[in-house]
Amino acid sequence: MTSQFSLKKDFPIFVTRPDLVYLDNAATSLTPSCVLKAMDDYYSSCRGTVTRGVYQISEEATSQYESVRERTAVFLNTKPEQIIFMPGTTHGLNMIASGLRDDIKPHHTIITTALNHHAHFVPWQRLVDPDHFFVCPLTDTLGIDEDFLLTHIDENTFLVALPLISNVTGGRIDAPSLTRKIKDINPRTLIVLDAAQAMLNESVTPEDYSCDFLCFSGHKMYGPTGIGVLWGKTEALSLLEPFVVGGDMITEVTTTHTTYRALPHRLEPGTPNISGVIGLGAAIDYIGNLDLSQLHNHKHGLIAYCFDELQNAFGDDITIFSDPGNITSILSFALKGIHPHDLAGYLDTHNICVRAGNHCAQPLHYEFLGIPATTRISVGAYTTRADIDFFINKTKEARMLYQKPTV
Amino acid sequence: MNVAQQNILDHYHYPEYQGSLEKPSHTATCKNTTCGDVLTLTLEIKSGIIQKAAFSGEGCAISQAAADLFIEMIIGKHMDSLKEYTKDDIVKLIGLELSPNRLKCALLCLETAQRATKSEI
Ligand SMILES: Cc1ncc(COP(=O)(O)O)c(C=O)c1O
Repeated sequence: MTSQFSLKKDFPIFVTRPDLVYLDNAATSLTPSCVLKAMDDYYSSCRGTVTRGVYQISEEATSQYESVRERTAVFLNTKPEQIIFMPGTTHGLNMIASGLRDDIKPHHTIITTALNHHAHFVPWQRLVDPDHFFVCPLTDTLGIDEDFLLTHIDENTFLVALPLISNVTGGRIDAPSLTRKIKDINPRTLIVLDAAQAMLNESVTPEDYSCDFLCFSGHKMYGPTGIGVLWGKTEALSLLEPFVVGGDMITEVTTTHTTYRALPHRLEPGTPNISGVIGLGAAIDYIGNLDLSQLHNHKHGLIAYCFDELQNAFGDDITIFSDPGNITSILSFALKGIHPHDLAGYLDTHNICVRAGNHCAQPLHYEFLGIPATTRISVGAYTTRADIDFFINKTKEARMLYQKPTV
Repeated sequence: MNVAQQNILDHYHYPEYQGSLEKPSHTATCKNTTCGDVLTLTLEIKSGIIQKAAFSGEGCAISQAAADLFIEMIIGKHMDSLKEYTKDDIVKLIGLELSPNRLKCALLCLETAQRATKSEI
């Protein structure tokens, strides 16, 4: 167990850029050496394809690839055949939406929330008519309006799309309780959870929620880009008509018909992202070796500190769109007198990376918060209090510079 | 801070052409969805010549200052010349090196002006 949280030494980007203050972990996290090494080892020592080769390096690659499926299953406390490797959350969610397209009937409705990332909004919006698509309002503390949600569940509710943690507010939903209440009303309603922001903030165990599908991306949890996981209940995965077909996912192809392989391979067409899967496995091992509750406390503590410091520095001139009672590792804010892009641009000149814009959540910004853009801070295992102090100081400077002089 | 940066801030803080014309002959509004900048241009064009222009909107310093500088440049010019302006002209006008994302903010005024010329009221 690692006892102290200055994990910068594990992340080689800090050797190349010692002054980097990386506060955009919600977009993508940095990568530790062990993940880079695992991918490098694959390329340099067993660079073969998976499942098809009858020679040693291919068998070695296949065994590594499948061992990641097993380790991911242990990490999520589920079964290996329920783990489908996907290029990321977006692909996983689209695999579900496309795979269910033929099951949607004209009377069906879908319920979502503006707290969702576009990846968990647009695929569902596209499945039904606008008057069958319900977007839950938000509570004063930027949570999901549970009453609205539950009163809209009936026998026609085909699917509910929820995030575990919002990528804008950082607020977490009470997934175990909310999903159970939905299923109590209509057990056939499918529930899809987006866990992209949750993997480093809590132990994600899909079987503890009453959900049917759950997706996440490796690159937000110290893994490589281009790899993620679609988890599903076996019955739910069986509902999915593969939306990409071709090699690897078939058992038999004749000139007149094709049969598909069993799960999980049925949903993994083509040569997969082998090095990505191996890198994801190394990231899961890396996380497994950390003291997770300490990691969570570290990050939540930093964001709570950042929240207070921003509030102290700017008082009524700042609006923080995060609930101090429900803090994870993300917060977004609007500061009077400086546009988020100008702030992010200024911070960048001091090697501070923050996100400015609508963070792939336009309905939330335009229709619920009523502003076009916010600045978002999100911390990682390597973030320190000094990073937050530096960010606060530079934000004060930027505001002095950009604020319109009062005449 | 260099001279170009100071110039941008000056135009952002004290824009000369902010507002909207009472009787515009042409107008357009464009959005930059990545950062939420919105820009509305009103133009008064007589016999093809841009007589007056004004901008309004919400956005970062680059988008607002670029609009101000751009209007300063096009007043008195023939509307057909708006078609000729390119990204490079705007970059020169701003005088700063811009990342691809910030470039979109700077180019919003050009896009809006070009659209406005097709929008006779
Ligand atoms: C909550 C959430 N869902 C989905 C996504 C999309 O993930 P990806 O781009 O890895 O497919 C992101 C990140 O961008 C996210 O924050």
